[in-house]
Amino acid sequence: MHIMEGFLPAEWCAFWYALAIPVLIYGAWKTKKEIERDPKAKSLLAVSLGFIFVLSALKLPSVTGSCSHPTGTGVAVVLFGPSVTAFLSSIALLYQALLLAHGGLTTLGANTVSMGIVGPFFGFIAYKALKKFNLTAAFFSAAAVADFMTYVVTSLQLALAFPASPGMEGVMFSAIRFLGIFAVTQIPLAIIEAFIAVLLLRSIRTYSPEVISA
Amino acid sequence: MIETRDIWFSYGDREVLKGLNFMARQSEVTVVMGKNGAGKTTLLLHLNGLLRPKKGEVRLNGVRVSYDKRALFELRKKVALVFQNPDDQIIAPTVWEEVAFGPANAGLNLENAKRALKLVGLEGYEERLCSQLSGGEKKRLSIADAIAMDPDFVVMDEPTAGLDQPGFDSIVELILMLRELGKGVVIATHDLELATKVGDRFYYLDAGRVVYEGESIDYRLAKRLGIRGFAGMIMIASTTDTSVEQIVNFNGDSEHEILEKTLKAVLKAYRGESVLLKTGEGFIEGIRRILEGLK
Amino acid sequence: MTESLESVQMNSKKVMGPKARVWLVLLSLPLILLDTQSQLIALTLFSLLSLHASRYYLRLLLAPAVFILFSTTVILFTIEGKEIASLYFLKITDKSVEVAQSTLLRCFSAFSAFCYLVLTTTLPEFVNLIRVGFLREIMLLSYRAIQVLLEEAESLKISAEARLGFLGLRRWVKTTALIGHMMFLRSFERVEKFEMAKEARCYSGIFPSARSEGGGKILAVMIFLAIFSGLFI
Ligand SMILES: Nc1ncnc2c1ncn2[C@@H]1O[C@H](COP(=O)(O)OP(=O)(O)OP(=O)(O)O)[C@@H](O)[C@H]1O
Ligand SMILES: [Mg+2]
Repeated sequence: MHIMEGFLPAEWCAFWYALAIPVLIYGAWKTKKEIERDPKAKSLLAVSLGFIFVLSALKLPSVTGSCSHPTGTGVAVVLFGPSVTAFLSSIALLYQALLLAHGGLTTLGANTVSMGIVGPFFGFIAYKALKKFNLTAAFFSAAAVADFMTYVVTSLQLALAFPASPGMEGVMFSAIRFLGIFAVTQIPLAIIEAFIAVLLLRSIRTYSPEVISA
Repeated sequence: MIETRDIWFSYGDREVLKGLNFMARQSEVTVVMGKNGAGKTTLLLHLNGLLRPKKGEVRLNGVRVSYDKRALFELRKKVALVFQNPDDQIIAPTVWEEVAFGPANAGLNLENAKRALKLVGLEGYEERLCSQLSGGEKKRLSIADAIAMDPDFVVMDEPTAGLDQPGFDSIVELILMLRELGKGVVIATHDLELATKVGDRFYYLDAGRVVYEGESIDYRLAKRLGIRGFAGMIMIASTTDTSVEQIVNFNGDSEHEILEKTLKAVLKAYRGESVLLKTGEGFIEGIRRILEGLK
Repeated sequence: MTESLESVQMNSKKVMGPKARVWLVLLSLPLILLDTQSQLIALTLFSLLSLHASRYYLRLLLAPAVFILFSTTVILFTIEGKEIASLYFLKITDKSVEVAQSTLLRCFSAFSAFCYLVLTTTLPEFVNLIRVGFLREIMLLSYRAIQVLLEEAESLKISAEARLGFLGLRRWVKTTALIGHMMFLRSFERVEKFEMAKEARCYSGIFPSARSEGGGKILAVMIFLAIFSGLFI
């Protein structure tokens, strides 16, 4: 779920950018290290980024104006791990803004936090926790949790910017309202995406097991 | 001059080139033909140093190519490669970035890139996105990539695959122009029309070996090696080749039948289908009879 | 969708050069977030520019409709203040109307500026402002990968569609995962192909920049100053 251009007031745009940027700088730094170690990593990263973007574009349903959804980040985080996913999906989000007009530039920081950082991070934890017991369940929850957390964080971001009344209580009240209304689109989407993720990751594992080992 | 001497190459334990000798000169068009999987692409990749032979050597102007970084850099400046599928070759999103990529990395003047675009007729396309080009334009862009390196040799893998007639014509024109400019052109192709139009020297490969080498095309060998592209020509094959279906029998058919079948064959060829017109000693006699019959 | 937007970007009427365009929008957006007068001026100017650029603008406006509808509804019925209307247990207050109004104005104003950029500016034009070498190269390469992968995905989709692969939710999920897997495999091939294509042309770490003509700087400055003047009205 992208927050559209201009929807957040200036101070909140700045706040989320301030949160996202250190993580991204860390991701960029790690990426640079990786490239210096192995120049081929450049092509690999570039194509992975392309893959993440195409995966998200693939799933865009034809329903007009439907608010679009997490960017296959559940799959990405299983394949690439959370820090690379954060870095790559921030760029993928920029592409979604510039190529599909989803999200926006001033809200890029906020969207990166929800879709690139927090969502996939929790998805990764869920995946790690369940991996030992049941791989299918792990794949499912990686995607479902990533999507779900993204939706929770986005609702919180909106609630913080638009609290019912000043103070924590007002924020919580707003958050429940935002969660409630966006559940209509986001919960079914999260479940559908999780099914897709299971099928996709299972077949990737069958044909290229080395990719899903970490 | 670029040549390979007794090169052997295998992917894993699948032997693909088996002691191959090959040579191409500047100001000449050298055509490499052969069945799918004969090893054409593999050979071309050796000419540019993308593959290294397991045995044997590649020589540029008589000097053996060593595979250190410097030597490869020099080799790739002299021998430019055009991939079969332009989408595999184009790595930059816009036309200008793409065509300037080679010269920028080789430390050449970017004027070369400009000139190359002009040569292939893509002047004014600089800011276009590569994804928005047609198949033929992409093909020409990938050739411009090679020309922009200002190489001595341009090596092209199936340059006319998937092109329509104007596209085909423009490639023929380009190849002849490159030869005019003194470049050596090496093409791998299944297209006999292209081969006959531009080729100066011909190689037929079969299972990693050269089975024919010469200055003209041997049609029968071509057929045996599975080379397609008799389109638009009536081939006169010798009667001794029994594998060819006989469509006109000058001895047995009536004049009327001969005339009808010949006209049909001509029409088919005109429509671009492959036609084999089998003739023998009776050919001239047969034609004479037809002409007399027409009177 | 990218497909059509990409061609819109190529064919739209741009009025000014890419550099001027990108900077104009990037510098205007913060002002738009901050000031109501600036929002009104920007909304007018950028809507005109976007409409002039391409009729596709009207379709872009519809894209975030659901988001706007849902979020504004929440704002309208949630923020507390003096009640002015009510629907069962939901009440609209003076404060909530005010916030909804100001949010919508800000949102549409910023979105019109954003749309002008999206309608006129190709990704490479944008990326060329980035000076960090490795980042620029990764972005340009990945954009090229996207172009190729999307084209392949498109033909796979058509092929699946032709064989009824998307009929019903169940099959849609299955087919989508299948195409995703194909894309994954193609991605790996693409890495190899990129490496070969680079190597074949003496790759030594340079990725040339797109040529982009300047121009339109004066117009861009004038528009910016107009929006800037909003701060003082
Ligand atoms: N990367 C590779 N890994 C393994 N085997 C390969 C690879 N590339 C080619 N081959 C094999 O090597 C053989 C020769 O391939 P090559 O591409 O050189 O043939 P070709 O003459 O160019 O064929 P075509 O007319 O189909 O292009 C084929 O049997 C092919 O399957
Ligand atoms: Mg080949």
